Amino acid sequence: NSHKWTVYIRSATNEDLSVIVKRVVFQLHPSFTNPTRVVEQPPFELSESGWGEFEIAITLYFHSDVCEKRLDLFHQLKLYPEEDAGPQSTKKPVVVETYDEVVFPEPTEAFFLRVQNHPAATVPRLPPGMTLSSPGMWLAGLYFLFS
Amino acid sequence: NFPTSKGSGRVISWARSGQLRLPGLDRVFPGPLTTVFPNPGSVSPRESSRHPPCRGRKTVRTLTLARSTGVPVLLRPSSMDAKDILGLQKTSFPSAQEKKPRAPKEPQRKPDGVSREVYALTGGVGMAPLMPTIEASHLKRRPAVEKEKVAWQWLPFTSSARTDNLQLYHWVRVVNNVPPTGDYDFAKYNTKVDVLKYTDEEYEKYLTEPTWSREETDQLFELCQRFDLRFIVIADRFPTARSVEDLKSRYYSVTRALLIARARSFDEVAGNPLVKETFNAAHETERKRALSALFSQTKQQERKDAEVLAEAKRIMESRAANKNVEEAGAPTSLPNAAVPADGVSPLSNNLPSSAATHPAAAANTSIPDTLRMLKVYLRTHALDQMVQAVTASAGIRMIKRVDQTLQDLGVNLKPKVPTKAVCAEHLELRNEILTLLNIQKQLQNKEAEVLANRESSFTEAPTTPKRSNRDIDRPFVPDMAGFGGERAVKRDHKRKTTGRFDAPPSPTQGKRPRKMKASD
Repeated sequence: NSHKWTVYIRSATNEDLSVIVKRVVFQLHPSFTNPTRVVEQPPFELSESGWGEFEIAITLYFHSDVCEKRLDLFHQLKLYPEEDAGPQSTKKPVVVETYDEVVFPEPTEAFFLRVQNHPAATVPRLPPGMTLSSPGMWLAGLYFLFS
Repeated sequence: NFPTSKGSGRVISWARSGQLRLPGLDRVFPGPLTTVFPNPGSVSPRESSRHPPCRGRKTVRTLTLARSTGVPVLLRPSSMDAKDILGLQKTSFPSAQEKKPRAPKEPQRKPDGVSREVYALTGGVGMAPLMPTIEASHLKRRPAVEKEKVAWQWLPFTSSARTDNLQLYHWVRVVNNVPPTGDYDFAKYNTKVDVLKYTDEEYEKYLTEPTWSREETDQLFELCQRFDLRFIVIADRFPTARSVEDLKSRYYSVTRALLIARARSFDEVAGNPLVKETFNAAHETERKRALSALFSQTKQQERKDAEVLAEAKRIMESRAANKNVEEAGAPTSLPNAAVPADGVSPLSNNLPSSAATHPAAAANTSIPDTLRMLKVYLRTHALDQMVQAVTASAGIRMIKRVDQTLQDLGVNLKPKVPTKAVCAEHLELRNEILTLLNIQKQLQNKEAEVLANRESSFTEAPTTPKRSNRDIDRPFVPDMAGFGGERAVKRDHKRKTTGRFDAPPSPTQGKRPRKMKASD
């Protein structure tokens, strides 16, 4: 129990991800009790204490109108900083963040309308002359950021 | 080394691996170096089967050697040796042996015309057929007297297929002096088409048609009758120019109308294929046009069409799979409109337009198949897939060089902040590096070729045909000929191999060392 750590899924600008993400499941090392932790509301983060460094499997489940499929990510938990960072200090936490984008290549119209103006999602501008109601059109991809 | 025996004067030498080779004996006995008195019980079957027990003096002599010198000898005991030691009889039941094998051997003897080796090689004893095949006695009997008398006669015949009563002759198999009756055998193949003939009233009542005059229709039917509905020929012979489809549709519609008019009820002729299906002239023209277009396609077009069709199929499949998953499905009208296209060109027109409207993920790369299937994916994963797709054609060495170049430029192999723009730029950068490296490699190859050509012009060796094509920039340097040529060739060959890892050698660099050599 020497180290306290938190793993989180966060938007780059700290927006509310619950418009897109329904829940997040963190799969911890089996040495933890109940290694499968489910977080249903924002903020999608999990705090624990322990000593080892291991790989955490993070699964994102989206709302049903967003995407039926889930998305798996992996994060290596780091408790100790890089070799040349000097002596450890209990005041400064070790932060390891990975930036990535989740792309929805063919979003549903409902989803699109819902998040069109939400800061969590970035929607590329539609080419001029295109309206949503015309059939046979490919919608641009949406993506949101997390770390 | 062990002392030689008293009487024989032979030396026994030990082989290093523990194998004992006894001179004069062509057997090798493996095993540990221990004194072994042959145990009559332990006969190695391998030894005894490989070499038939030699009853000659050799075995006896080696045994006496062992016994007389007291040298520890290993002998894999054979039955012969054992019997010799124990004083048993060497041949057991000699009389019985002779009689028994001889009796069954007789039928197994090889035929006299075949040498022993060949007989054994070709299967030997097992070759005897289990069933009698042809026996000589049968051959004599076979041409038996038949019950009937058969003769062949040159007889005249007529064919019902002919209209002119021409009488021809042919050979006929006559049985018991009764010539065969019946029509000529091949007359049944003379099939004819039933072209209907209409009367004037019928024409007035049912068959008039604005685009067709009576004379034309008559001519058409006469030609149909004459040429057995071969419409290509009919179209050629038709006095006014009409397309094959036109003629066909006129003929079929007339016949159909006639059939229906003549039949007492519609059901009678409903089964007739002429009535069931109507001739679709538009479809036929379209089909023929598409067929000729397909036939005259170039290889390129063929390939493109195959790709497009495969893509359409994939899209259809993915959409069919996802239709069950999503409620508000993405628009499916596009692939549906694309797929059941009549000809090849409508299909190819639809799909490029759809690809154009879809904003491609990167500048000039297409989305890999694996990405297309995913409903959601991470940007880094997408980048990895696209990098893989690009470098799939290049070898592992090229990939490493690209990575090396990226590192030298100070660019991370995987971008730290993979936004859409960043990934696009990264991919473009990788592509450009790859292109650069490829061109560099080509340049090196070309330069090496040029140098090799220059060198080959100095030696007297005859130029091979493929080299003679590249002799365009063969320089004529008279003072270099002969003397410095050979050595320079060697030097350049060496330079060729090292040149790959250095910067491409410039021509001036190549000339300078040669000049130095010549001056030597």
